[in-house]
Amino acid sequence: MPSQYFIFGIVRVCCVVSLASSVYADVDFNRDVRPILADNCFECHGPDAESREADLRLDALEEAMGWVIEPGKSNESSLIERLLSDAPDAVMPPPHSKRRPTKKQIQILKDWIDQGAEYERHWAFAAPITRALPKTVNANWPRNPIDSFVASHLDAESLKPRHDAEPRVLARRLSLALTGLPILPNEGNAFADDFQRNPDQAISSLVDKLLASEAYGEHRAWYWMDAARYADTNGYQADGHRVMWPWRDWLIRNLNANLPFDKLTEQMLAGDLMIPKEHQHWQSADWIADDRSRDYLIATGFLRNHRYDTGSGTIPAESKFENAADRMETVATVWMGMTMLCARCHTHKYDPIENREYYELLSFFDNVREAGSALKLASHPYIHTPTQKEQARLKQLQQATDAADAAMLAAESSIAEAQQKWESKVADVVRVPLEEGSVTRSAPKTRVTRGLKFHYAETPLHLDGNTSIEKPNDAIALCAGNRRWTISFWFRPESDKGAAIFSSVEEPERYRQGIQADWVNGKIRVRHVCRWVNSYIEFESAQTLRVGKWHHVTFRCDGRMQGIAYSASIDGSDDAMLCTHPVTNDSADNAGKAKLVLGGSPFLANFSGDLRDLRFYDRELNVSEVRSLADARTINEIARVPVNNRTHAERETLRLAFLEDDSLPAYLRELYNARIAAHAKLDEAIFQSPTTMVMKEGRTKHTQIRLAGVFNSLGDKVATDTPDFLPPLPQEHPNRLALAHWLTHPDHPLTARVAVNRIWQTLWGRGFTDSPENFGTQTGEPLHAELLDWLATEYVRLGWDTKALIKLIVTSRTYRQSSDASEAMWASDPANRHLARGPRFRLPVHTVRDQALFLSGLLDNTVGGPPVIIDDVIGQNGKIVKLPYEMSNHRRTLYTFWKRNSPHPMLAVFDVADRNQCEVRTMRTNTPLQALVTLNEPGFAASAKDLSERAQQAAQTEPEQLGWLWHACTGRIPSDEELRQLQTIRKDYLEIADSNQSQAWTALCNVLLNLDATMTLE
Amino acid sequence: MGTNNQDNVSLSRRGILNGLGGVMATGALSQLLCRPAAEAAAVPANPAGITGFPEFPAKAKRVIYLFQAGGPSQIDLFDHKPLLEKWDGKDLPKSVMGGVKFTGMVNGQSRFPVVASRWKFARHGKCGAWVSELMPEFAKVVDDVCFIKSMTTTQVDHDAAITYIQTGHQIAGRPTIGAWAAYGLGSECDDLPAFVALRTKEGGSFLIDRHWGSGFLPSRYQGIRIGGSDREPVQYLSNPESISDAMRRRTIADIAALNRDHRQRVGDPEIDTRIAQFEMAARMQMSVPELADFSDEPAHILDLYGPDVREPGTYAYNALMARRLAERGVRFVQLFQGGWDQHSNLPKQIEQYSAYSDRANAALIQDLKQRGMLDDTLVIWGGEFGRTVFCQGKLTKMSFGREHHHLGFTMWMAGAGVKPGFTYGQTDEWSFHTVENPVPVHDMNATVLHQLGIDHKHLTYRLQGRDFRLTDLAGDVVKEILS
Repeated sequence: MPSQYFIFGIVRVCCVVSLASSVYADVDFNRDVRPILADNCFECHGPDAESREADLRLDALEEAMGWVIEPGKSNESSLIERLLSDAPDAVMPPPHSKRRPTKKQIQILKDWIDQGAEYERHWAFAAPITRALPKTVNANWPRNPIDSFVASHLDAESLKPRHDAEPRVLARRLSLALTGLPILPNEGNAFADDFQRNPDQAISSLVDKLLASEAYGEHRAWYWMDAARYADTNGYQADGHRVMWPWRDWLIRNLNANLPFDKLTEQMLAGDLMIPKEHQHWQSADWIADDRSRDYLIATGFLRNHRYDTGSGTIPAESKFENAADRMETVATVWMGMTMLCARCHTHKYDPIENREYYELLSFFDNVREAGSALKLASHPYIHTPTQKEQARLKQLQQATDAADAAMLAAESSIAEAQQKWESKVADVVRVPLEEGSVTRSAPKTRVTRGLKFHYAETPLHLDGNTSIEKPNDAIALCAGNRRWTISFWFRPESDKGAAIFSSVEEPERYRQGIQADWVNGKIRVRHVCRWVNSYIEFESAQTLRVGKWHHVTFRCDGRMQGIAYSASIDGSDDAMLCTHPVTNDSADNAGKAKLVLGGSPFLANFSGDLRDLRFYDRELNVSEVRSLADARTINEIARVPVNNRTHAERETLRLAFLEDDSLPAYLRELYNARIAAHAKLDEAIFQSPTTMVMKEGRTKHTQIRLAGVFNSLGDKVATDTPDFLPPLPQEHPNRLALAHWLTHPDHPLTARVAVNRIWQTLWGRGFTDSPENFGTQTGEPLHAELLDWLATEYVRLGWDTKALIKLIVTSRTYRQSSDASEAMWASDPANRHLARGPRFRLPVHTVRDQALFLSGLLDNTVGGPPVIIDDVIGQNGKIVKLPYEMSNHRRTLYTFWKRNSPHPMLAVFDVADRNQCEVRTMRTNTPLQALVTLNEPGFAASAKDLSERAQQAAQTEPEQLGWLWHACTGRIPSDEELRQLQTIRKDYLEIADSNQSQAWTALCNVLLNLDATMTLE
Repeated sequence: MGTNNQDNVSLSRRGILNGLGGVMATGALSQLLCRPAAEAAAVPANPAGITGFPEFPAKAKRVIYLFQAGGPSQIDLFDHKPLLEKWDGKDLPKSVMGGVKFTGMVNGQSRFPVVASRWKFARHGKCGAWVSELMPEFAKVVDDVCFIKSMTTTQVDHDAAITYIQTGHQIAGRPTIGAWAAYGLGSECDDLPAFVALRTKEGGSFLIDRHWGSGFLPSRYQGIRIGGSDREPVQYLSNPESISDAMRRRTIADIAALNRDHRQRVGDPEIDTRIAQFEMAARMQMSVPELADFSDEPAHILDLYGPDVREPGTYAYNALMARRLAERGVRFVQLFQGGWDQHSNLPKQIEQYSAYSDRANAALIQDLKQRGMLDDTLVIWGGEFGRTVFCQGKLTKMSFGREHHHLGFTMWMAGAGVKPGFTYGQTDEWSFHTVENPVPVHDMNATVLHQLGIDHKHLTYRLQGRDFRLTDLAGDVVKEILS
């Protein structure tokens, strides 16, 4: 907290006796003065012009100088006069603010003014500079530059570093810090031997080994998952299941591969914009076969891990705005250590961020092709991301389809020859003139006939806005959520009045089961209603359509009874239709028994315009088929396009029409059918593979300011830009890729500092600042600011090599110190801000649990894959959620199925981040409920039992067994006294357990797993 | 730890503490606890409040908040509107409706017919408060109750609205009202958490752990869920199968002893806290089963709450549990009942859910009163919003639904310095807009904190450079309802 910083900042200001009544010498503006002004004055005299009083700014002091501040003359400065005033109407801050600077703080302000009132930018807003290494008294102590900074600081503070930690303790510390798992006694002993011979060498090789283990990536992934608000459900009220674990696996893979931080940034924020040109034309739900492109896309899942609202009450525009705001605020927090939230409604009170700039930054993130309402499993845009194993099978199936395709290709000349003959025949069909507004077109009967079950309005049907035509229910009966089907039609509205083009509505007052195709607000809307109001699929055209123009629409379902089963297109494009209501429930297999009504429905006016070629298929059409149907011309018209002038779509359309024509020769039909079968198999396998939500840029549009942060109170349009107080965006197209480059530019004052601070926090239990999410003006300069800056510049110099940076930190002499300290030292520096001892902090819960599993030998160290369920997941209706995941209490905690609204109770009581939003701060509390978890939770209980068995196998004699256990849990060989205590415990427990050996041992191990030393990184 | 274990039952709490005597130490922090120092550990397991809080004499030492999730229909329970009889089935005038937005659920509804309440209203008590026949028992205690008929919220969807009323902000992440109270005032009790959530088993609802969470406050302030449909009253309260109660007592003592040695070695005072927390855990293993054992309640008390009281997880059971928790010094008890989200088939459902809670609400007030606890226990009843005057879905005589309504709904309070037999604020004759003394959610929350002896503007937590509070940037204490 800033106030604590402030207190520590003061420690550095030495008291001196001065002629000029100065109490504090060398007052530093950023370290000592700015936090006082920020806390007490900025609310009314800060960056926010709206709330600024008396036009006085104290965050930017140019104007204040010579006005309320007279440099060198505190007694002539009205700033001080007002602070010291007794008059209620003159004193600052005003009494109603409840703010009151202390006498000490006012003295510091006085001294600062008397010393010349020099000021500079907020420490974190100026780029870090590489400083020369400071000199230290004991030149032998430092091992690397970190130690020089620390030793020099300790010298200045008259503090001494602690001695090196006992090697076994150090080995455990390194292992837990780097991999989240401890090491076993034999490894600890081996390390101790190596350490005796050559400490630096021993540490270096252990660290290399740990950094190379897969557990490293798993451990670090946890912190990224917190920051990325990763969860296996969508959050909000419905909190439905989603699939994002392929992103988590991407993360683990790339952390282990040590992808440099700037590359990681680039890919997570803009991977979709980095795909090679030839792979850029993908659509939502595609399988991207190219490994690199697929990985780039998966990376952008970072920006899709936010919660996502869905359900009957969801307003898509609000939801989209919240999604974009979440993306932007997450990026600002993780990379810049800036909290933008305040600027959503008004200009920031403390930091130089204007209301407009919030929306300029938001503008990088609000252009995603998303619907504004979450689907189950995957919300658009998403891709299929098969596992390694599935990829192998997909490759096989791909080979089969390739072979089938090749067989067709081999027959190409005979097909082409036959097709040519056929084309000349169809070309004889009399052409019907095609004009916009003409209604005399006939339906193109000869294309996409496979699976066509019902066909209405074969000749254009003019609907006059008054009449409607009833048809039987048969066609609608096809359209249940558990079947594959496609509806395809052309329509042309005559007016912009909302109307029903066709519908089938059973129980209009209640559940409304059926299909509806409506023309509303200048958009086409299709619905498959399973149970109004909370179970229906709805798609709407992204754009408004012109009255008087023909449009083609399809509505398709692949039979999986979930949101992602459905797709819809307009004029051949799926991207141009947005899913605006994706939620279905167990009523999804209900097709409804109502008749099909052309031109009307119970809810809207009758349609005025034309409808033609309304088709119902009992299969889901593919994209080429949809495109073929969306081609307004008849086959004979397309056939008349000279062969060399034909577009790809035209060639496809003609070929499809020919292959499905009755006149196709039998041997070709056989090849064709084989090919269809092979493709169907491949499609099915792709569909069965997991998905990952990714970023896909939509059409460029202008972001608008939302007044008071309310999604539908639109203000001025803004450009896409970064905040003015930071370096300018490079001269690139202002998109997420440019933003990624801007963030990782060496001149950026925040990114490297913020990243280094977070890494430091994971290794030391706390960062240089306690507010890793906020490096703004409210956060005072940290005690070890110079070290932080050096590390930041070093990180950049190392090419953002994270493993190298971590190695540098953990191989320092500073990190090697023993973590114990004198009573006085704990009292004077409980948080270890001076770094005069090694790290000591309670392990995060995932490590507490993983450690118990590891020590007991129960840990299943499979890396990656779908999440696992520890206990049944209970839904909001109190019932068990059926999930396609394995039950296991033995995988590492990061693989635990994470229900966003109710994380596993064992984790919930243990300070896990609330994955509803980005979290980079570490919370570490100490509660009785945590004790109940580690004492009684079945997994911990099982670990105690297996640990006891392992100990008994590890050694022959009881003292050896007890020694092994103690060492395994605490990282230390027990003292004689401790061993005696353990022996007494062992004897007593056997008695309490009525000589039941297993119970006595288990209870003993339960004790050991619950020791403070075991649960703590020491 | 089994509740029927003879060994366990024979041990009083003090006995347990004595049994752990070697583990206890006296310490400077013990005075922070309200319990006698002899019973306190070196470091309190429960957090102390903020120094100086309560800031002024608190009327309420504790709160029992009966949260009615889903949005109970004020029109059918308390907000009597005779005009509606004449309009039943007719469209609500456009002038009343104005441009008010509702959720996506009534999109496509072309008519908004008024539905008058199907239940008879009558005046009750000396105060003459209107209560419908749905709450006959509660109607008998209205002279102890203060109705607020002019509640307003800004949110129209359940999760956002519950989050809003519980945390003062519609977006998840802030502490809930009980967590704020625990943070500000600490606990009066060292063997139970300061904030307890009780969730009834009836009624699908929108309730999730976050709704009694601590948000950005440390997790020790979060509401601890007791009871409900879980196998155990508190998660992981029971020992693993292989560890007997006797063994657990020894293990707790040994963990403490070894930790104390370690404290000597490394010096970290945080180890003292860990020792205290393990001891508190052990005390909870004793106190919670006793808490959940209603056999010490006399028959007339059990009868007061009704037959459901014997079944764990019912509203009546939780109401009695709330009283038992309050008695033991738990600062903030929040009972969560779902099922009020009656979009269709309201008549059947409202009768069902009124029946679950009517008798228990009355019993709780009477029970607290006869114990003298109503004077310093604030009882609150209410949900995240109310319901619309117009019908949702098909309207027949006894089958209809009502949509969420945020512009005017009813809550009631009792005890702890709130005016008894008093009604405050009113809605228009349609129960649609609030026309007199509106009480926004922030004002309600400010008032609750005020009764606890806290100025809501002073109970803040610094995060991301900003002081956050329950009432965000608003909130006025509704002085008019305070006696």
